[in-house]
Amino acid sequence: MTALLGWMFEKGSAPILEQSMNFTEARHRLILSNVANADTPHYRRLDLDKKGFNRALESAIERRREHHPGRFSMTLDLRVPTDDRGHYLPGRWLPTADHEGPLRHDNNNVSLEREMAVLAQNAGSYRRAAGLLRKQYGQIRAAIAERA
Amino acid sequence: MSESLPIQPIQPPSGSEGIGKKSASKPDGPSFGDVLKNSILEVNQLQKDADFAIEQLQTGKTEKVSEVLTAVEKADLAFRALMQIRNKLVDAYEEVNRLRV
Amino acid sequence: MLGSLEISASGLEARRLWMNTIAENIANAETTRDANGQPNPYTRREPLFSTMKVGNAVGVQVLEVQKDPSPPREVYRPGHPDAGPNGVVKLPNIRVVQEMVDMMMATRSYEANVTAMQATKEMGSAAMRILA
Repeated sequence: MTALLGWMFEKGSAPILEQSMNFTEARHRLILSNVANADTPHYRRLDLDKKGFNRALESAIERRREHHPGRFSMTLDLRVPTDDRGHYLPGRWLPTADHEGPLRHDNNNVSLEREMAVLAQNAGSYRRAAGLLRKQYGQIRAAIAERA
Repeated sequence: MSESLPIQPIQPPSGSEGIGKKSASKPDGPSFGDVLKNSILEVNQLQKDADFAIEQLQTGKTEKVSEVLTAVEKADLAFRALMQIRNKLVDAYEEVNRLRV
Repeated sequence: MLGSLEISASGLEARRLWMNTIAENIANAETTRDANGQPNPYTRREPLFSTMKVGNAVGVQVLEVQKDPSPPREVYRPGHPDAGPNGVVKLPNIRVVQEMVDMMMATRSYEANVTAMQATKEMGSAAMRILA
Protein backbone atom coordinates (compact mmCIF):
# COMPACT_ATOMS: atom_id res chain seq x y z
CA MET A 1 0.00 0.00 0.00
CA THR A 2 2.80 2.37 0.93
CA ALA A 3 4.59 1.70 -2.34
CA LEU A 4 1.48 2.67 -4.23
CA LEU A 5 0.61 5.76 -2.23
CA GLY A 6 3.97 6.55 -0.65
CA TRP A 7 4.69 9.16 -3.33
CA MET A 8 2.06 11.31 -1.65
CA PHE A 9 4.30 11.72 1.38
CA GLU A 10 7.60 12.04 -0.51
CA LYS A 11 6.89 15.12 -2.54
CA GLY A 12 6.16 18.48 -1.00
CA SER A 13 7.48 19.75 2.29
CA ALA A 14 6.31 16.97 4.63
CA PRO A 15 9.63 15.04 4.78
CA ILE A 16 11.58 18.29 5.19
CA LEU A 17 9.39 19.41 8.07
CA GLU A 18 9.65 15.99 9.74
CA GLN A 19 13.43 16.07 9.68
CA SER A 20 13.41 19.62 11.03
CA MET A 21 11.23 18.46 13.89
CA ASN A 22 13.57 15.57 14.62
CA PHE A 23 16.50 17.93 14.80
CA THR A 24 14.84 20.58 16.96
CA GLU A 25 13.55 17.88 19.31
CA ALA A 26 17.03 16.45 19.85
CA ARG A 27 18.42 19.94 20.31
CA HIS A 28 15.71 20.70 22.86
CA ARG A 29 16.87 17.79 25.00
CA LEU A 30 20.40 19.19 25.13
CA ILE A 31 19.08 22.58 26.15
CA LEU A 32 17.11 20.92 28.96
CA SER A 33 20.33 19.26 30.11
CA ASN A 34 22.11 22.60 30.05
CA VAL A 35 19.42 24.26 32.14
CA ALA A 36 19.32 21.36 34.62
CA ASN A 37 23.12 21.57 34.97
CA ALA A 38 23.40 25.35 35.13
CA ASP A 39 24.95 25.03 38.60
CA THR A 40 26.98 21.85 38.14
CA PRO A 41 30.72 22.38 38.60
CA HIS A 42 32.85 21.63 35.49
CA TYR A 43 29.79 21.33 33.25
CA ARG A 44 30.07 22.84 29.76
CA ARG A 45 27.03 23.66 27.68
CA LEU A 46 26.14 21.39 24.79
CA ASP A 47 24.34 22.08 21.54
CA LEU A 48 23.72 20.52 18.13
CA ASP A 49 25.34 21.73 14.93
CA LYS A 50 22.50 23.72 13.37
CA LYS A 51 24.54 24.98 10.42
CA GLY A 52 25.61 21.43 9.64
CA PHE A 53 21.99 20.32 9.74
CA ASN A 54 20.88 23.14 7.41
CA ARG A 55 23.57 22.14 4.91
CA ALA A 56 22.61 18.47 5.03
CA LEU A 57 18.93 19.36 4.60
CA GLU A 58 19.74 21.50 1.58
CA SER A 59 21.70 18.64 0.01
CA ALA A 60 18.85 16.21 0.55
CA ILE A 61 16.43 18.65 -1.11
CA GLU A 62 18.83 19.06 -4.04
CA ARG A 63 19.14 15.29 -4.44
CA ARG A 64 15.37 14.95 -4.56
CA ARG A 65 15.11 17.65 -7.20
CA GLU A 66 17.64 15.92 -9.42
CA HIS A 67 15.98 12.54 -9.44
CA HIS A 68 12.63 11.67 -10.93
CA PRO A 69 10.59 10.47 -9.16
CA GLY A 70 12.12 12.36 -6.29
CA ARG A 71 12.77 10.45 -3.12
CA PHE A 72 13.67 12.40 -0.05
CA SER A 73 16.31 10.68 2.02
CA MET A 74 18.51 12.03 4.73
CA THR A 75 20.44 10.00 7.23
CA LEU A 76 19.79 11.88 10.41
CA ASP A 77 21.65 10.14 13.16
CA LEU A 78 20.65 12.28 16.08
CA ARG A 79 21.48 9.78 18.76
CA VAL A 80 23.55 11.50 21.39
CA PRO A 81 24.52 8.60 23.58
CA THR A 82 25.32 9.00 27.23
CA ASP A 83 27.70 7.08 29.44
CA ASP A 84 26.65 5.80 32.83
CA ARG A 85 28.19 8.76 34.61
CA GLY A 86 25.82 11.09 32.82
CA HIS A 87 28.02 12.53 30.10
CA TYR A 88 27.04 12.95 26.48
CA LEU A 89 29.39 11.24 24.07
CA PRO A 90 30.20 12.89 20.73
CA GLY A 91 27.61 12.12 18.06
CA ARG A 92 27.27 13.03 14.42
CA TRP A 93 25.76 16.44 14.97
CA LEU A 94 27.06 17.18 18.43
CA PRO A 95 30.19 19.26 18.45
CA THR A 96 32.51 18.64 21.34
CA ALA A 97 31.43 20.59 24.37
CA ASP A 98 30.76 24.20 23.57
CA HIS A 99 33.65 26.19 24.98
CA GLU A 100 32.19 29.57 24.29
CA GLY A 101 31.11 31.83 27.03
CA PRO A 102 32.84 32.97 30.15
CA LEU A 103 33.79 30.35 32.69
CA ARG A 104 32.60 30.91 36.19
CA HIS A 105 34.61 30.05 39.26
CA ASP A 106 33.03 26.58 39.32
CA ASN A 107 34.27 25.92 35.76
CA ASN A 108 30.72 26.02 34.38
CA ASN A 109 29.91 28.08 31.28
CA VAL A 110 26.12 27.88 31.20
CA SER A 111 24.43 31.25 30.92
CA LEU A 112 20.75 30.97 31.84
CA GLU A 113 19.89 34.01 29.73
CA ARG A 114 21.41 32.43 26.66
CA GLU A 115 19.79 29.05 27.30
CA MET A 116 16.37 30.70 27.70
CA ALA A 117 16.82 32.51 24.39
CA VAL A 118 17.94 29.36 22.55
CA LEU A 119 15.12 27.40 24.22
CA ALA A 120 12.48 29.86 23.03
CA GLN A 121 13.84 30.08 19.49
CA ASN A 122 14.19 26.32 19.14
CA ALA A 123 10.77 25.56 20.62
CA GLY A 124 9.26 28.15 18.29
CA SER A 125 10.85 26.44 15.27
CA TYR A 126 9.49 23.10 16.40
CA ARG A 127 5.95 24.34 16.89
CA ARG A 128 5.99 26.16 13.58
CA ALA A 129 7.18 23.07 11.73
CA ALA A 130 4.46 21.04 13.48
CA GLY A 131 1.83 23.57 12.37
CA LEU A 132 3.04 23.49 8.77
CA LEU A 133 3.11 19.70 8.78
CA ARG A 134 -0.43 19.63 10.10
CA LYS A 135 -1.49 21.82 7.19
CA GLN A 136 0.21 19.51 4.68
CA TYR A 137 -1.57 16.46 6.02
CA GLY A 138 -4.80 18.44 6.15
CA GLN A 139 -4.50 19.09 2.42
CA ILE A 140 -3.90 15.44 1.63
CA ARG A 141 -6.92 14.59 3.75
CA ALA A 142 -9.02 17.18 1.88
CA ALA A 143 -8.01 15.70 -1.46
CA ILE A 144 -8.94 12.19 -0.35
CA ALA A 145 -12.30 13.00 1.24
CA GLU A 146 -15.41 12.73 -0.88
CA ARG A 147 -16.49 16.10 0.33
CA ALA A 148 -13.66 18.49 1.16
CA MET B 1 -56.51 18.28 -61.23
CA SER B 2 -56.02 20.73 -58.36
CA GLU B 3 -53.29 23.22 -58.49
CA SER B 4 -50.50 22.41 -56.13
CA LEU B 5 -49.85 25.19 -53.78
CA PRO B 6 -46.40 26.38 -53.99
CA ILE B 7 -44.72 25.18 -50.85
CA GLN B 8 -41.78 27.23 -49.90
CA PRO B 9 -39.27 25.89 -47.48
CA ILE B 10 -39.40 27.68 -44.16
CA GLN B 11 -36.78 30.31 -44.07
CA PRO B 12 -35.27 31.37 -40.87
CA PRO B 13 -36.14 34.91 -39.91
CA SER B 14 -33.63 37.38 -41.23
CA GLY B 15 -31.02 38.66 -38.96
CA SER B 16 -30.76 35.41 -37.11
CA GLU B 17 -27.83 33.93 -38.98
CA GLY B 18 -25.58 34.31 -36.01
CA ILE B 19 -27.74 32.48 -33.46
CA GLY B 20 -26.72 28.93 -32.76
CA LYS B 21 -23.57 29.14 -34.79
CA LYS B 22 -21.62 30.45 -31.83
CA SER B 23 -21.72 27.10 -30.10
CA ALA B 24 -20.21 25.36 -33.06
CA SER B 25 -17.40 27.80 -33.71
CA LYS B 26 -14.62 29.15 -31.43
CA PRO B 27 -16.00 31.36 -28.65
CA ASP B 28 -14.83 34.95 -28.16
CA GLY B 29 -13.75 34.58 -24.59
CA PRO B 30 -12.13 31.64 -22.77
CA SER B 31 -14.26 28.54 -22.38
CA PHE B 32 -15.11 27.07 -19.05
CA GLY B 33 -12.68 24.26 -19.78
CA ASP B 34 -9.83 26.74 -20.27
CA VAL B 35 -10.74 28.58 -17.08
CA LEU B 36 -10.71 25.33 -15.17
CA LYS B 37 -7.38 24.25 -16.64
CA ASN B 38 -5.81 27.61 -15.79
CA SER B 39 -7.12 27.38 -12.24
CA ILE B 40 -5.50 23.99 -11.81
CA LEU B 41 -2.20 25.32 -13.15
CA GLU B 42 -2.41 28.32 -10.86
CA VAL B 43 -3.12 26.21 -7.79
CA ASN B 44 -0.21 24.00 -8.76
CA GLN B 45 2.10 26.99 -9.03
CA LEU B 46 0.98 28.38 -5.70
CA GLN B 47 1.72 25.00 -4.15
CA LYS B 48 5.20 24.97 -5.68
CA ASP B 49 5.82 28.49 -4.38
CA ALA B 50 4.70 27.45 -0.90
CA ASP B 51 6.90 24.34 -0.96
CA PHE B 52 9.88 26.42 -2.01
CA ALA B 53 9.18 28.98 0.71
CA ILE B 54 9.10 26.21 3.33
CA GLU B 55 12.40 24.82 2.01
CA GLN B 56 13.98 28.26 2.35
CA LEU B 57 12.67 28.61 5.88
CA GLN B 58 13.69 25.17 7.13
CA THR B 59 17.21 25.37 5.70
CA GLY B 60 17.69 28.71 7.38
CA LYS B 61 18.00 30.62 4.10
CA THR B 62 15.28 33.09 5.00
CA GLU B 63 14.01 34.68 8.18
CA LYS B 64 10.83 36.09 6.60
CA VAL B 65 8.42 33.86 8.46
CA SER B 66 5.32 35.92 7.64
CA GLU B 67 6.00 35.68 3.92
CA VAL B 68 6.36 31.92 4.14
CA LEU B 69 3.18 31.51 6.16
CA THR B 70 1.29 33.76 3.73
CA ALA B 71 2.46 31.69 0.77
CA VAL B 72 1.38 28.50 2.54
CA GLU B 73 -2.03 29.89 3.40
CA LYS B 74 -2.62 31.13 -0.16
CA ALA B 75 -1.76 27.75 -1.61
CA ASP B 76 -3.96 26.00 0.93
CA LEU B 77 -6.99 28.23 0.30
CA ALA B 78 -6.62 28.04 -3.47
CA PHE B 79 -6.44 24.25 -3.20
CA ARG B 80 -9.54 24.04 -1.05
CA ALA B 81 -11.41 26.38 -3.42
CA LEU B 82 -10.49 24.09 -6.29
CA MET B 83 -11.76 21.12 -4.28
CA GLN B 84 -15.09 22.85 -3.89
CA ILE B 85 -15.26 23.44 -7.65
CA ARG B 86 -14.50 19.76 -8.19
CA ASN B 87 -17.26 18.78 -5.81
CA LYS B 88 -19.77 21.04 -7.54
CA LEU B 89 -18.82 19.67 -10.96
CA VAL B 90 -19.23 16.12 -9.71
CA ASP B 91 -22.63 17.03 -8.26
CA ALA B 92 -23.70 18.62 -11.54
CA TYR B 93 -22.53 15.61 -13.54
CA GLU B 94 -24.40 13.20 -11.29
CA GLU B 95 -27.52 15.31 -11.52
CA VAL B 96 -27.38 15.37 -15.29
CA ASN B 97 -26.85 11.63 -15.26
CA ARG B 98 -30.00 11.20 -13.24
CA LEU B 99 -32.15 13.01 -15.81
CA ARG B 100 -34.39 10.57 -17.55
CA VAL B 101 -34.41 11.42 -21.16
CA MET C 1 9.40 14.35 23.45
CA LEU C 2 7.56 13.93 26.72
CA GLY C 3 10.29 11.64 28.09
CA SER C 4 12.44 14.72 28.34
CA LEU C 5 10.26 16.05 31.17
CA GLU C 6 12.44 13.87 33.41
CA ILE C 7 15.50 15.99 32.67
CA SER C 8 13.80 19.15 33.92
CA ALA C 9 12.30 17.25 36.85
CA SER C 10 15.82 16.35 38.00
CA GLY C 11 16.75 20.02 37.69
CA LEU C 12 13.78 21.07 39.83
CA GLU C 13 14.46 18.47 42.49
CA ALA C 14 18.12 19.45 42.79
CA ARG C 15 17.15 23.12 43.23
CA ARG C 16 14.53 22.27 45.82
CA LEU C 17 17.13 20.42 47.86
CA TRP C 18 19.48 23.38 47.46
CA MET C 19 16.82 25.80 48.69
CA ASN C 20 16.08 23.58 51.69
CA THR C 21 19.78 23.52 52.53
CA ILE C 22 19.99 27.31 52.34
CA ALA C 23 16.89 27.64 54.53
CA GLU C 24 18.50 25.39 57.15
CA ASN C 25 21.67 27.46 57.02
CA ILE C 26 19.71 30.65 57.61
CA ALA C 27 17.67 29.08 60.40
CA ASN C 28 20.87 27.89 62.13
CA ALA C 29 22.99 31.01 61.61
CA GLU C 30 23.18 31.52 65.36
CA THR C 31 23.06 27.90 66.54
CA THR C 32 25.98 27.29 68.93
CA ARG C 33 24.92 23.91 70.34
CA ASP C 34 24.32 20.54 68.75
CA ALA C 35 21.43 18.11 69.31
CA ASN C 36 22.97 16.89 72.56
CA GLY C 37 23.21 20.38 73.98
CA GLN C 38 27.01 20.40 73.68
CA PRO C 39 28.77 23.55 72.55
CA ASN C 40 29.29 22.76 68.87
CA PRO C 41 28.50 25.50 66.36
CA TYR C 42 26.40 24.50 63.37
CA THR C 43 28.33 23.98 60.16
CA ARG C 44 27.15 25.51 56.91
CA ARG C 45 25.96 22.97 54.37
CA GLU C 46 26.03 23.15 50.58
CA PRO C 47 24.97 20.70 47.89
CA LEU C 48 27.42 19.08 45.51
CA PHE C 49 25.82 18.87 42.05
CA SER C 50 26.78 16.40 39.41
CA THR C 51 25.39 15.18 36.10
CA MET C 52 23.15 12.12 36.18
CA LYS C 53 21.97 9.77 33.48
CA VAL C 54 18.23 10.28 32.92
CA GLY C 55 16.95 7.81 30.36
CA ASN C 56 19.04 8.47 27.27
CA ALA C 57 19.76 12.00 28.34
CA VAL C 58 21.65 13.90 30.99
CA GLY C 59 20.08 15.48 34.04
CA VAL C 60 21.43 16.60 37.39
CA GLN C 61 21.57 15.25 40.90
CA VAL C 62 22.80 16.28 44.30
CA LEU C 63 25.59 13.80 45.00
CA GLU C 64 26.04 14.89 48.55
CA VAL C 65 25.17 17.68 50.92
CA GLN C 66 28.63 18.69 52.04
CA LYS C 67 29.78 20.52 55.11
CA ASP C 68 31.55 23.80 54.50
CA PRO C 69 35.10 23.27 55.80
CA SER C 70 35.72 26.92 56.65
CA PRO C 71 36.17 27.57 60.36
CA PRO C 72 33.49 28.98 62.68
CA ARG C 73 33.20 32.74 63.05
CA GLU C 74 34.77 34.02 66.22
CA VAL C 75 32.79 36.94 67.56
CA TYR C 76 33.32 38.94 70.74
CA ARG C 77 30.09 38.61 72.77
CA PRO C 78 30.91 38.37 76.46
CA GLY C 79 27.25 38.00 77.50
CA HIS C 80 26.66 34.90 75.38
CA PRO C 81 26.14 31.64 77.36
CA ASP C 82 28.68 29.86 75.17
CA ALA C 83 31.26 32.60 75.26
CA GLY C 84 34.75 31.50 76.20
CA PRO C 85 36.84 33.06 79.03
CA ASN C 86 37.95 35.85 76.68
CA GLY C 87 34.29 36.62 75.81
CA VAL C 88 34.56 35.20 72.32
CA VAL C 89 31.80 32.94 70.92
CA LYS C 90 32.29 30.48 68.10
CA LEU C 91 29.33 31.07 65.79
CA PRO C 92 28.41 29.05 62.71
CA ASN C 93 30.37 29.81 59.54
CA ILE C 94 27.24 31.24 57.95
CA ARG C 95 26.77 34.75 56.59
CA VAL C 96 23.08 35.38 56.12
CA VAL C 97 23.66 37.88 53.32
CA GLN C 98 25.52 35.25 51.33
CA GLU C 99 22.75 32.77 51.98
CA MET C 100 20.18 35.25 50.67
CA VAL C 101 22.18 35.68 47.47
CA ASP C 102 22.44 31.90 47.09
CA MET C 103 18.69 31.63 47.66
CA MET C 104 18.07 34.09 44.84
CA MET C 105 20.31 32.11 42.50
CA ALA C 106 18.69 28.82 43.43
CA THR C 107 15.26 30.32 42.84
CA ARG C 108 16.31 31.70 39.47
CA SER C 109 17.66 28.32 38.40
CA TYR C 110 14.50 26.63 39.64
CA GLU C 111 12.36 28.97 37.56
CA ALA C 112 14.50 28.44 34.49
CA ASN C 113 13.87 24.70 34.77
CA VAL C 114 10.14 25.40 35.09
CA THR C 115 10.21 27.49 31.90
CA ALA C 116 12.11 24.75 30.13
CA MET C 117 9.58 22.14 31.25
CA GLN C 118 6.76 24.36 30.02
CA ALA C 119 8.37 24.57 26.59
CA THR C 120 8.61 20.78 26.50
CA LYS C 121 4.90 20.46 27.19
CA GLU C 122 4.01 23.00 24.52
CA MET C 123 6.11 21.19 21.96
CA GLY C 124 4.44 17.91 22.90
CA SER C 125 1.02 19.49 22.34
CA ALA C 126 2.06 20.91 19.00
CA ALA C 127 3.12 17.44 17.88
CA MET C 128 -0.18 15.92 19.05
CA ARG C 129 -2.13 18.51 17.09
CA ILE C 130 -0.70 17.16 13.85
CA LEU C 131 -3.14 14.32 14.25
CA ALA C 132 -6.15 16.63 14.51
